Amino acid sequence: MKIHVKFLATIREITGKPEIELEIRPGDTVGAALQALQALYGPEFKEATTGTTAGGIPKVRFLVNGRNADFLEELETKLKDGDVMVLVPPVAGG
Amino acid sequence: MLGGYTGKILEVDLDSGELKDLPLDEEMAKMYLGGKGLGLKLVYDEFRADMQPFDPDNLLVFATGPATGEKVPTSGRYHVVCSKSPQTGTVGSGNSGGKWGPYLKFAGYDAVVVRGISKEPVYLSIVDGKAELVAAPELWSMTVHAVTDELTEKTGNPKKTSVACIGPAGENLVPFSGIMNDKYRTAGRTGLGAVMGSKKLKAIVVSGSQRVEPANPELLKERVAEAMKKIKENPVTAPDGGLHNYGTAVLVNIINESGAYPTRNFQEAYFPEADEQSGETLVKKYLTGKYGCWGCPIVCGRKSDVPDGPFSIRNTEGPEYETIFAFGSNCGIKELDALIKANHLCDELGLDTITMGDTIACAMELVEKGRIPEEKLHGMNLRFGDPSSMIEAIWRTAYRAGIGADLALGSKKLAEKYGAPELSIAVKGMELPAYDPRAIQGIGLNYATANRGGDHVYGYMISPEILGLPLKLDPYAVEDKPKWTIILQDLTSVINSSVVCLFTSFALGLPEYAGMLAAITGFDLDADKLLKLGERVTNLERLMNNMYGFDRKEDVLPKRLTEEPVPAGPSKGQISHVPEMIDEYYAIRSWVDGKPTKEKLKELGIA
Repeated sequence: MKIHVKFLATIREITGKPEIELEIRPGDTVGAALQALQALYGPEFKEATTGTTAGGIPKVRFLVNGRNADFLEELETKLKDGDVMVLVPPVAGG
Repeated sequence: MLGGYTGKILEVDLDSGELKDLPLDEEMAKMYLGGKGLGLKLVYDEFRADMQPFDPDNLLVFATGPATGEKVPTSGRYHVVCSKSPQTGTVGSGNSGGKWGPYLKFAGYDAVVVRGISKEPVYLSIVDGKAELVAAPELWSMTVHAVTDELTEKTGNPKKTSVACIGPAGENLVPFSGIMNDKYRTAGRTGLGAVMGSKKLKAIVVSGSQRVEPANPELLKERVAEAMKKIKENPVTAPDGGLHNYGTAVLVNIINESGAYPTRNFQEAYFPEADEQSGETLVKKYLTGKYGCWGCPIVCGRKSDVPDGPFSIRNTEGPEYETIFAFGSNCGIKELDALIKANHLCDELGLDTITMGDTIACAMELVEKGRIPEEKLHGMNLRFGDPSSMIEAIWRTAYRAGIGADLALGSKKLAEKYGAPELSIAVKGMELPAYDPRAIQGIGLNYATANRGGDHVYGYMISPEILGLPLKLDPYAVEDKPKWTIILQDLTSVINSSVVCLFTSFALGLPEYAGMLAAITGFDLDADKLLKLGERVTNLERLMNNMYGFDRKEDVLPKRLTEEPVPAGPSKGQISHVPEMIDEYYAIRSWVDGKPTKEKLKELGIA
């Protein structure tokens, strides 16, 4: 099955693409999709999507169909065919 | 004198032409700090419940705070208060960056109070402690950029000069015209420009170099170093962080993908073409540089250039996220160059971009639903998705030309006039900013309760609900929203009274603000005392609005947002639950039906 993955701001600068379709398996989670993306885009992407910043802020948040995965099951949030997953770095206000 | 203050307020009487120096009352400074708090108190001391917006004694107060012009991050801002807003009928209030605030201080004054109406157009000059009113009929009708250039030269020291002024929209009393400074910065909302225009005051020029010392410079240095460390580490405010790299426009995709990007007059909350007007696209196509206000390490301002095409505009500043939404998705328009041009036009004419864009959006829906007849448009295709009509509508509004005369009413009176009041998306007559409250509950509660109308910065709940700062709150939940809305609203009252930039609050909290302000002023301040001061400021503003007749019945969102579910996109099916949150909000505030109790007012020391 396929999900749409969108990259914003600094993460988009690394991937060079605003969005892709990602092939995943039934039952795959946000965590599994992240691992697949990290394998696809290499160490710079992995660094930008792992852990927290110096100030302790998570380096990436995930929206799944518009919902922040932190309020679903975080990395254990299950994905289904056609879902939209957005990778959001901590960048904004205004 | 207290640290951080010049100790002087300039009183300007435009009826008599008399200028007077008044001492800043120390007790007033301790209770209200400066900026918004000081402005509100000065207005309150002469308050009249039957005030009308263009009465001579509708006071217009420009106020700095103790942090303004000090060696403190983001100390370049100032606040403006007026007794009665022509847009909302509440107390008027606005805040702006650039460098005007510090230069008023360096020119020798903490604040300027303007009363009366001049017989002919004048500008106020405050240079090195000397103030004078100068007759200037030749300046009337000049656009903001032209008059700024003209007056900047006159002080003989252009690099240390700043000009605050109105454009043709303020002169023409458009009720959502703003006060502009340094060409592209604005105290935009609640129609402060129209109040200035009604007084025939075209501009205030400030220039000077009298620095004001803090009470405890060594301690301030330490506390600023701690604050700067936090600002530099935070990914939003860091020197290579989100705001610096992308500007506020970086919110376009984030908010759109959250299903909260208002589209076509808040009919929808997802705009498929959003990426074409995003911060990412702005960087790729039109960005030529960055702009920072005086004393700011964040530097979120944009410099843009559209070299050719139907919406060409050379070497301008902006656009901000709010402007992109108001003229973009909310008008069904995707073309970013048209939005940059629209922004520039609003700067030249002196118009609030949020209200202007939202009013055009309202007009577009009125046209599409057959409420505004074609004959009234005289050929304008004022429909969603038409960028050239959107741009034309802006100058028509400033000059009240054709349908522009109706647009100049603002969306509330416009929609009422054409028999569809429900199509105005506003609170207390001020149009809503760039977050659909059906997808983000707390910002909706803030919109409904903000004293000056539909306002996002009043208590910026986007910070916890979308950015997870200072803590994570679920945007769909109602739990804890009243409590956090109140904390952020009172914190913002502090920020607007200090005066520093709201954007520092992504990185800093009350302990840091209290630490710096205590070192500047010598006041006994900690986090709790400072928040109490903020609560006092919020309540004083609310009290005056109550006396104008505002209460619970105006603390409401339009029915579209509480009764019509989002039709499509990531937030499909959601509505705003403000009606379920408002009672808890009042209970925590000790307000009854939107009015502070006598006990609360006594506790806060408001007479």
